[in-house]
Amino acid sequence: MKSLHFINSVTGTGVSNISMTNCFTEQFDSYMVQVSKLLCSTQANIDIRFIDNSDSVISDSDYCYATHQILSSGFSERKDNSGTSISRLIAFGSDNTNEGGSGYSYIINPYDSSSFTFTSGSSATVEGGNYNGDFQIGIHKVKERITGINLLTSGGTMDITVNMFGIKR
Amino acid sequence: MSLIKINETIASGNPSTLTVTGITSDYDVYMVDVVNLVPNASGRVEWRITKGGTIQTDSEYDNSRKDMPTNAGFQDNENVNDSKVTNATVDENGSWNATFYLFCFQLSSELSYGTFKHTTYVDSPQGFGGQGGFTHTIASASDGLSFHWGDSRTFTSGELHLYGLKK
Repeated sequence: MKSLHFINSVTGTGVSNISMTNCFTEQFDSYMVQVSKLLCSTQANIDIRFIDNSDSVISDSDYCYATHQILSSGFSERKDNSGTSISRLIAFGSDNTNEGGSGYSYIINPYDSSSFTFTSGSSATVEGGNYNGDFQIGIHKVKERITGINLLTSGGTMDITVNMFGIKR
Repeated sequence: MSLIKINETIASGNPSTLTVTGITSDYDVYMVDVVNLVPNASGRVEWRITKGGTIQTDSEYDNSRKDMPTNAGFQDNENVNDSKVTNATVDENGSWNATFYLFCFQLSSELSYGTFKHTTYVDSPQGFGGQGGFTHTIASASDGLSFHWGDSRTFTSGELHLYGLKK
């Protein structure tokens, strides 16, 4: 049976970024990260960075991503082939307590030092009465061991809960 | 609802095709996890269905998809009456990863339908992902999914995991 095994949960209040270390191990080759209880101080995107084997956040221009945004006002595409993060795990996080948003991303091969790390996920938010959804993919295009994840806002601060699951096949 | 493991195929010895079968009338919907498909040199990933364990090479495959390069405009792609479904030209340093849902495969009176989402690194070089759907336009039962490379490449690695969706 395919199942999700809970690994860890971290919560931050009024933070610009949040880390979960040592959540990737040899026990699983794929994971799902899920964000809930998101509230931003200003409308902002939530982006992904990874943490290397030395517990350092990787902020080099080693990421690429593509996001297809499905807005109540239309469609748009976002992409970068040499970014410093995988942008838009969640697009348009809200600063309205009556709104909010959530999202998830699958993370493939983070702990395999002979492979790039891949992500694929979706999010849904409402901000100022505007409904937003997206489908995004990302790659950390360096073959190295990834042991953790860092989520950061594109502006302001956030209240956030991050849950990590291992995927058992 | 749960996903019941039916079968798996893991590449061994650099095969030219990678096939997983086991779809029966036990479930209405099936899912295939495609993990780490790596070609021995840059190669275009392609797939077909199987009937009675035999790979179907007829020109009965239709598909449409939204492809998302990380260094170029997004693409609306489609193919009709093709002999396979094609996707990205995967870099040998990358890998192709995807999730498929398969519908009506078990029904002899229906066409075979599938949806897919994928993430990979291509030889352009750039990241590449997207989602789409395909149909094999013959009304008869199908029992699996088979992958190969369009450029006579072989699999350095790759895993296919087949699940039935239990209500």
